[in-house]
Amino acid sequence: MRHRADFSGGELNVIVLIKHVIDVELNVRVRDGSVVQDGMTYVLSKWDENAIEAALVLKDAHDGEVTAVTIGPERSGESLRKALAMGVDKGVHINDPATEGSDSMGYARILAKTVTRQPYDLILAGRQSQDTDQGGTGPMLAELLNIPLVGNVVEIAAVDGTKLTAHRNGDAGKEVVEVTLPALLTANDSLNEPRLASLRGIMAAKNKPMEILTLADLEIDPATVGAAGAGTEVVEMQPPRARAAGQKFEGAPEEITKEVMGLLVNEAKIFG
Amino acid sequence: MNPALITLMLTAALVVFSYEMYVKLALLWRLAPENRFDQMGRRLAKLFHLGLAQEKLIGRKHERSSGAMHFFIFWGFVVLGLREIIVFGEGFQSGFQLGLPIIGATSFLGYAYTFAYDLFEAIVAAMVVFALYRRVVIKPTRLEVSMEAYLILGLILGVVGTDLLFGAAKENLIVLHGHAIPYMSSSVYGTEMDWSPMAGLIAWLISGWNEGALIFVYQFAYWGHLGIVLVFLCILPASKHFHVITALPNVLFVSLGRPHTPIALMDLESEEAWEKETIGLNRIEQLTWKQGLDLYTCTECGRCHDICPTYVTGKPLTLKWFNDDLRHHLLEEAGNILRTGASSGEKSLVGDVISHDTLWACTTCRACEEVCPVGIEHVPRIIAMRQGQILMHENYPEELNSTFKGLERNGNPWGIGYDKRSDWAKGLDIPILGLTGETAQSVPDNLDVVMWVGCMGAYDARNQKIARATATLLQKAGVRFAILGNAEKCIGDLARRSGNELLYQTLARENVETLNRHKVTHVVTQCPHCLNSLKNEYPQLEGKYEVFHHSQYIARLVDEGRLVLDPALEGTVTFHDPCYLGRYNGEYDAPRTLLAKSARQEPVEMHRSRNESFCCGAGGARMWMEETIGTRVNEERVRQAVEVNAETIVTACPFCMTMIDDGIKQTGRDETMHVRDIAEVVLDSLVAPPATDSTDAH
Repeated sequence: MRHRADFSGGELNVIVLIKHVIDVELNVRVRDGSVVQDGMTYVLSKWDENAIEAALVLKDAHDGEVTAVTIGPERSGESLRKALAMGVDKGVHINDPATEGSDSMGYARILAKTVTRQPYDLILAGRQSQDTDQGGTGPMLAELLNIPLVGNVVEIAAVDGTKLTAHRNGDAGKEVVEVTLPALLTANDSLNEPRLASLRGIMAAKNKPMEILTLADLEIDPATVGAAGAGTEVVEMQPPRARAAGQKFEGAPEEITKEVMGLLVNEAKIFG
Repeated sequence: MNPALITLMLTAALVVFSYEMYVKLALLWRLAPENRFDQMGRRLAKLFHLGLAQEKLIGRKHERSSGAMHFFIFWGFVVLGLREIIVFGEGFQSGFQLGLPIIGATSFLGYAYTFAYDLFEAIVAAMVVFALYRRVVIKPTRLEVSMEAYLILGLILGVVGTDLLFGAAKENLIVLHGHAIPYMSSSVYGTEMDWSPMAGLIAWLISGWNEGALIFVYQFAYWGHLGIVLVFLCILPASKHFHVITALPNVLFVSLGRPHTPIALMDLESEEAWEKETIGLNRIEQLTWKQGLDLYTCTECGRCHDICPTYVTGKPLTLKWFNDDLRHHLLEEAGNILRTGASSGEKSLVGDVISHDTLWACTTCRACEEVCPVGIEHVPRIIAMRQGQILMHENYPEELNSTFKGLERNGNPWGIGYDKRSDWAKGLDIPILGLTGETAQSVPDNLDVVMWVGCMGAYDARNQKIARATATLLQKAGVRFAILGNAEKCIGDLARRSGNELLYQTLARENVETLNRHKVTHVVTQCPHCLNSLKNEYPQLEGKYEVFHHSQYIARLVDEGRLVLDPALEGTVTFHDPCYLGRYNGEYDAPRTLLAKSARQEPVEMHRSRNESFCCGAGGARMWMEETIGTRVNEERVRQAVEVNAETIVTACPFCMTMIDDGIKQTGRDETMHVRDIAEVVLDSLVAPPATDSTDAH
């Protein structure tokens, strides 16, 4: 399923996958096993902002078109509009109730159908979404599309013709990876400093195309996605445990060191 | 003397002068319009105070001697202006003054005027000598060695010197050598010699010179005088001493906002503004004509840079050079602007003419405007340039990004959840407007006031204590108040001062909507930045409230006997004036009154206090940018407090609190020096809450 745009003109067409998530700065409360929606606000997932920024930087250097894609209810349009205001050229919004309850695989299936509707050179996504922190959709999509994946990218070093060199944070240190395009990259937040939507951008965004699609438009069987097609099931939601208050130590450095070491060893059991 | 020659000289000089003036005025005419012709009564009052009375020159204690010098030179020029008409007239007709109305030979005023100019010529000469002494020997930091300054001083000395010499030679020729030169004489008032003690003194000194020498001096002094005056006239418009001509109009057209004019509300969706790139200040011709006049008027006296917290700490922003750079750029582009209405665009206004470091260094503290003798408005230009950089060019310090993002998402600069905004008030039983549910405190009827907490009071650990202290004081005094809880958002000051008018308007409109929905009429806040926006800038968005700073509100409660104080604050204390309370809102006394009632010792004043207070370094969104150039502003302020041996610095602004607290820690003084908010020291000094008949539940 390789879909390459015609790269001869040097243009680079990029698709950015974004997600509209609960603002994790808020007190997320859980009642009866699900998140209390009252008072919740939603924002663009932070790693997705890095992905958008990377796409826009590439666009500045190589021309081409940047398309942002999101899956979610009506409100997800806000994040798409923000992406457009940041400088993305086109938005695609898959808004279908049947997508609700999708797991990473479900999202990846929908996206696979979506991105292949047009030629592309590169797909960028956040390394994980800020709400579920799963980090599965990107890699699964790469697998479905049968294109190379570089996860947790901290630098896009070079793009030439058919190849892209990226630096990623791996377990043992930084890895320099060269891939053949098209490829899928997931962004680490140290990849860049995402720009703000400028006034000019906000005004320009009003006239940019935004496509709203249903599963039927994409010829996807609803049974394969959403809660119905999910291979995983969220059995229970629990609120995050409140962190214990910090402790302040006073006195001579030697004593403090001894005291802190004692606590680390005996109470926190960090060595055990 | 020689009417033909005088006519020639005068015509030549007037042609040059008129051409120079024409260019300068035509250029102003091409700049952006602004109405400064309103409220002429108040304008004339400004002209009197700043112009004739020279208030900013002799009124400042640190600048009194140079101020007095200027005062006398100024009045010397006023008196000698008339004298020049007489001198030139003399060339056309000997004894010109004699026949003039009002100041002629038969009028007492003629003799009084003779005495006045004689005296003022001597005074001006003495002042010029003092000015030279200052420049050569004292060398004040705000002045540079400048040949132009010496030239101008030399010319002034020449003007008064030649006229005195002329008078002296004339007197000797008449009295000693019987020359028939007409002179002022009257049976009632005596002769003009009787009324010219200074010229008389010089006449006495040169009385031994022979007739030929005197005739030479007489002629030489006369023509020399005319020459110098005309050269002076032609040099003025081309030099920084243009202020001799422009200063009076400049103070007449000064901003009348009290004490400053709020930033104008920008129409962000105006297509015309986008087309013409007038979103912010992006090109030199977008200055208003008054801002152009400001540039002409700056004489580089340097009062603004001596007082500027960024200059003092080694930042590239020094306002007199800021003015100078803009003026040069304006004049350099004068031809283009006059021809086409637009500058060439070869140099970018920000970047080439004014560096980015310079633009972003400003803390908007307004000290420069407070001390400028001619009322130059520095800060609005800086804000306008920042608006251009943020809104049009999207070129600004990267650190501001996360701050803006936080404001966009959660209405506070850190981006902490908006739903944590009222966490500080837990356990204080403060009613929250618009909050319903079982945990909500009931909001009392007939609220006295709404407490505006501000982001710092709501989220910053140190400043939460101040919010709590303020709320506690209000409760103890039985004030019926409430807060907006999580519905409050950042007031927008930092966004506006950084030039992000879009973000400011978004935040401000939401706040106005919330306040108006709850029909709020009175607001009290412990943040002077919030105070300033609520009081002076929200009315632009139909948010009209009576707004108090907590120091004002608490001072009133103390006055009314609703809070009783017994001084509890020990040691040497000093008050640090927040810029947005003092210079921006004219309040210097309320916190001092409270401090005097809370401190055991009489508070001491720092060298820089009240309207000349030294900024903490946080204003103008500087709080949210890195300070990488020079030394730190907050450390400098702490050093100034050390100078007066202060053990406790009391302030009345959450940003000052944080900056000074950091300054104390950064300089390793946290054992010996502390910073408190005025509400905290009042709370510590509170005796028992007086009996109250309040219906408040607490």
